[in-house]
Amino acid sequence: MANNNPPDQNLNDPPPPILGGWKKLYAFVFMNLVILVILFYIFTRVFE
Amino acid sequence: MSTIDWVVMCSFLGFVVGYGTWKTRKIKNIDSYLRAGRTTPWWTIALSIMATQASAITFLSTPGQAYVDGMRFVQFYLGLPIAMIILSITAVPLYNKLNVYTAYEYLEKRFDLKNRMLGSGLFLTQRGLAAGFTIYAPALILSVILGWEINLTIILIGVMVIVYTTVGGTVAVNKTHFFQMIIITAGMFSAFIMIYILLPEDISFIDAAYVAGKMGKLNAIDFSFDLSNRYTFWSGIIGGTFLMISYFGTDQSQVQRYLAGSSVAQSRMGLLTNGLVKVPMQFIILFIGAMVFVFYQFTAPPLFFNPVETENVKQSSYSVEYEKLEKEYAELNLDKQESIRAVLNSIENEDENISESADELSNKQEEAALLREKAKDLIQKANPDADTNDTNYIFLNFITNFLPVGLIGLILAAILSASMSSTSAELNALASTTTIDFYKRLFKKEASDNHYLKASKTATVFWGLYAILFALFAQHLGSLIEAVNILGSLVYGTILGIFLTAFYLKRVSGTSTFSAAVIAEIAVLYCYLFTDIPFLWYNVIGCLLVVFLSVGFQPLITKMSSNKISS
Repeated sequence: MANNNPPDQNLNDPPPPILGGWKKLYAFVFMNLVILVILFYIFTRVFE
Repeated sequence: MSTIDWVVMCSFLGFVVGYGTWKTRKIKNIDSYLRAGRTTPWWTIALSIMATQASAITFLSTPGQAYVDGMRFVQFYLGLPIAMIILSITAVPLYNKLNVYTAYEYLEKRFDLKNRMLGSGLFLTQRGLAAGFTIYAPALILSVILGWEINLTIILIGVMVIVYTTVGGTVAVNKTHFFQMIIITAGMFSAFIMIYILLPEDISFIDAAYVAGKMGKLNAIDFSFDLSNRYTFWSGIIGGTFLMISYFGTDQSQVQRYLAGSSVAQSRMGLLTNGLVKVPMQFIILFIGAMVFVFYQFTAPPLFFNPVETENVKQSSYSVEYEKLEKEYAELNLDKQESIRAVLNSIENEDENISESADELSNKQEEAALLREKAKDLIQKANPDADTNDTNYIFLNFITNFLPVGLIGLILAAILSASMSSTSAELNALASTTTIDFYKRLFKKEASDNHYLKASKTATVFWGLYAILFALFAQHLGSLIEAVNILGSLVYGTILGIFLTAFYLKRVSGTSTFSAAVIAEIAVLYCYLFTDIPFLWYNVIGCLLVVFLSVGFQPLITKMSSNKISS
């Protein structure tokens, strides 16, 4: 089935629409997680 | 439920089924049916990924979980953003390059047929059962609200999903996901606003957060490393990452969403958007549950939230004892309100006696928990088959008793949408795997495009009926969200181990991997049946066993092969 279709035409993908590069976007997602964990921890401690 | 609520709910559900069916009625080839012709933009992929994961179980059980157990369940999702990054780097370009229809096609290209069959077989087993759960949850709502037989509501919901998924395949699933996510977001946002409005006038939003926190419901992060504790930062970040890589990277119901992307970039953006949004979204849903808990501190909650079991015990010889417990619970609730206000005053005045007030509140909370346990005992005595876990009814009780007319219909539509969105993606994926990995690969290798299209539609109907049948038997399995996640964790680790070995260990052969996978699966089942290890760790155990055993077996397999050749 896989070979019945035209070969992929999009292997040379452009950079993501934001931040200019994939590595920067990955770092952004990771940093977002770190910040969320810190905020959740503060949230837990403040209201406990 | 009022007529307006019925109109709101039925209009939306009718629109989704009608739109999904009509918009996709002209699909004539297998590529459009299973991969939406690979034309999907990133934002549709992102919404579709979220809608697939966010089943009705998410919206019914998660707030109830926060009510009973606090917000620590959010840690379960901490591995998700990391998994999205890893998959964007590895799986997305690989699947795209190989131009596959299912994730399991890759296993045959890399290893051999038996690994493809093992991977797809484990997926079909697990996902087929999970599809039953996702139909069962909303069926439960309708049966409670309408007083209908749950079997009838299961069949009604199952048939609605089967109709548009069978007609339109992946395109219908993706198009309906868009509207379903909108109504889900609107529904949860409205519920949040209503809780805020319904709190007593002298209790501010911050006060409510303090009440929830002091009563142990805002325990979002726990850094302790305790293997017997189901949800900690470490189980979430380690076990959760393994689980999420496996779910999003090897579970066809998710892989199919980004295989439909128009390019690698579009698929990646879809996954990464999910990585940004999912954790805060779960946090908000759990926070809603914590706020429902606060609401019920100021408005007498029922002793037990399942109205059917409550009615049963009241009709039994234990009714006098139960009603006595109800009275004690109501009095205790009034006492608790005084203690809560005392704690809030202490916080406001920065009083040194705050720990005394907090201890008093904590004692009353324990007393309340004890009364609930006694009530559960009576319910069990009255009906030995009764389900004494009422987590799934807590949010439902709040919606139906305290929300205004119109909003009840909207939120029920959101919950039903969530169920339909994940069930449709599951049926779509089950049909793809059945058609591509089994039917085409093993039974009918050369046939027309139209033949495979018909086979896919038949498979969709088959799996829909299978899910309905399983849902009919799913009534005594405790908290639904945990049941689904436990079920997933029993096989995800092994599947992930097979894929990681395929991705990164180029020298390991198919036979080594297959043998390791069989042993790993047996080990995971042993852990589940005979140990107390929390289920998130099964993903780590299964995955690492496959990776290490396959590496360990490889020299033996190589030696056996060379002996065979030389003899």
